[in-house]
Amino acid sequence: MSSPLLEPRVAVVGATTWGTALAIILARKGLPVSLLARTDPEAQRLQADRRNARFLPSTPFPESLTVAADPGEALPSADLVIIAAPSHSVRDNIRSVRESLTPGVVIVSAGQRFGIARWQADEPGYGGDGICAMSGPNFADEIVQGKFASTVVAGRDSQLVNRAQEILMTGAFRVYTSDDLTGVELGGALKNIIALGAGIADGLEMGDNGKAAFITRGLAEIARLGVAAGAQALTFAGLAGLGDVIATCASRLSRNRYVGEQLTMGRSWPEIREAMNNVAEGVNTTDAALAMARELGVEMPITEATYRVLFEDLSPHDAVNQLMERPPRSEW
Amino acid sequence: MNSPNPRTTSITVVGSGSWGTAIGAWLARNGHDVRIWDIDTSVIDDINATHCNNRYLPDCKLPENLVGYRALESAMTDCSTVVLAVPSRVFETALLNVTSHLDRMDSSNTPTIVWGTKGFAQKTGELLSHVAERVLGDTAVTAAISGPSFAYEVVRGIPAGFDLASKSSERIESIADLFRSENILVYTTSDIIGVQVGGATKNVIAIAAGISDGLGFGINARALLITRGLAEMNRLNVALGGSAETMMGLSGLGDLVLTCSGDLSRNRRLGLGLGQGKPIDEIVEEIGQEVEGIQSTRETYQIGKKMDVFMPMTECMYRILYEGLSPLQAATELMAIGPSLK
Ligand SMILES: NC(=O)c1ccc[n+]([C@@H]2O[C@H](COP(=O)([O-])OP(=O)(O)OC[C@H]3O[C@@H](n4cnc5c(N)ncnc54)[C@H](O)[C@@H]3O)[C@@H](O)[C@H]2O)c1
Repeated sequence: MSSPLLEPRVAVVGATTWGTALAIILARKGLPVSLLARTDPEAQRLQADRRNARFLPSTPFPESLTVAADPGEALPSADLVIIAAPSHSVRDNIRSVRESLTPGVVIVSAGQRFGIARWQADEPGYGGDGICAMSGPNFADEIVQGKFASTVVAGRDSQLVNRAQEILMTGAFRVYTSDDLTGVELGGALKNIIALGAGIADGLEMGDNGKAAFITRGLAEIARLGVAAGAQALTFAGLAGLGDVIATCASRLSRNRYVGEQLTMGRSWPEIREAMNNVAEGVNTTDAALAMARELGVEMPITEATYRVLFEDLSPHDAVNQLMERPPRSEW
Repeated sequence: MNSPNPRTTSITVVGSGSWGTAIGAWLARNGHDVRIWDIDTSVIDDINATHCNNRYLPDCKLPENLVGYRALESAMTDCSTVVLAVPSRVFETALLNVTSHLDRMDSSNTPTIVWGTKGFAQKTGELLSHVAERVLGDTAVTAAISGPSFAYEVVRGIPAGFDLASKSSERIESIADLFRSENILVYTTSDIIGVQVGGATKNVIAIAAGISDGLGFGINARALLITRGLAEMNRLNVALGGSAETMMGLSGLGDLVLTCSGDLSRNRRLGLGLGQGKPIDEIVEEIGQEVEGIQSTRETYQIGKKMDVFMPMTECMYRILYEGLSPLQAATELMAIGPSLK
């Protein structure tokens, strides 16, 4: 190991569950990490507790993790910045910290949303080229327990991606690299549609066979959209696609699954939303994916059926029947 | 509900274990006249006497038009299609038995041969389509059907989806139509290699995923193993001449997901037991039925070696099952493979 002075410095924007977990495992590895809270009071609370009492209450902060509230203080010295803030667009997140960043810094977006790839297309030269996306089967509470996990970091600049891998990898947290930024980003976002559908399948007691078939067809469908948007098909069979879907569908805690199950009990999406204090990303993603599919001329029968269940009062039961009635043909 | 098929026909199912019985019930519900035969006549007698298969699929009612036969020859009289659902280790024996009756048939009416058996042929390690070609010649019309399918659910008419592969482009859709029903989707493909490799290799990965769970590694690790496992299965598939797309479909990815997560899977249960530190013999005895993955691990390992395909997970499972490697050691080794710093 090199001297501590030469250790790369990490800044994590957003004391979310995932942001906090990443800050903790990287600090455990001995890296100087600063966790950037949104407000001063939030930072003070985190500092006083030396843990994230709200999201990861049983994991104390390692010594080399410092808490900050001022981007101007934490960001300029960072070699790698992880964006894990709960906002609806990567664009807004990056804009809010961008003045404080040093040129050449590696930026990793750890939130699973659309945006980076498109943003780069829209605003070339805006600094977007340096951004990597990170996605994979990553339950934070297992990761802070030191259990094995893996993720994919993708970006267009292989030097930056390799640098990110080097900084992020630990003994138990295995970081794979990819040049398919669009695919990794879309996989992380679109898998929520499948999770929602898997909740519906569970609620309708479709059985294990039917659910496995549904997951397979769902992945094929999001891969089709991805390919039309410029992604590589095999990315969806990898950690950022299949891997993430397996983990999400296995979790009893997934909010998307919960929404799916509730829909089969005769409750409408507005009713379910009212009773939830958290967002279920699958709902927004379904909407966004369908818009994108129409724009790109891609057929997405599962997403479309899910959309109609959410927003047009189609019953989950009828939705499944309609999907089963589609004339079968070759899978691809 | 009646079958959507306008044409129903006589179909002979060979093997009345879990899968043969489930396929038989499904085809009978589609309105076909289904005759089922097994080397073990006690199961056949039970099916006729009780309309149940108490040994392999207890507690489910079988359709009346699924009829057991004690002799294969009479079961095959005037049949249009033979569906084999025997274990892979006896696939060739059963096929030879079927062929001996084909010889006596008028060659213009030779039945189509379909198999729901998964696995490589014992000893030779061939794909079953190669065995079929060797035994039947290359003019016979054959098809393989495979997908995520626990017999226990199929026999109850719960929804499922399959891939059906055949090299006969004229006949493939009509063969698939025999199986299609209101809640069973059947996709067709000419990639008979790809459709078989998934089913033959998934059990190896299911054992690995079970071990990971048995060791308490968690959901993230299991997702990693399944995903890397699929990549490994696909490498072998491509080396054998199958297409990667097929592996991403129902017979590959779909069956793998089912086998690795459904608690009904015997292979997963074997892995769980191994992860918890139990000896193999004890687990197998507890399961009480054949655990195919033990045999398919050896076959997959040997074929991978022969074809020079990188299959670290298969190799670890082979070493656990046949060379006494400790599951913890193996799992730790596996997790360390993969991403390397450039
Ligand atoms: N069980 C499932 O859910 C399922 C689903 C899909 C595919 N499969 C595949 O189907 C095949 C059979 O599996 P299973 O679970 O039904 O096994 P099983 O052990 O339940 O039944 C096998 C049956 O084959 C009979 N048999 C053995 N040798 C025979 C021979 N020479 N001729 C005729 N019959 C013979 C046995 O008497 C037994 O009844 C396997 O390749 C398996 O992978 C099984």
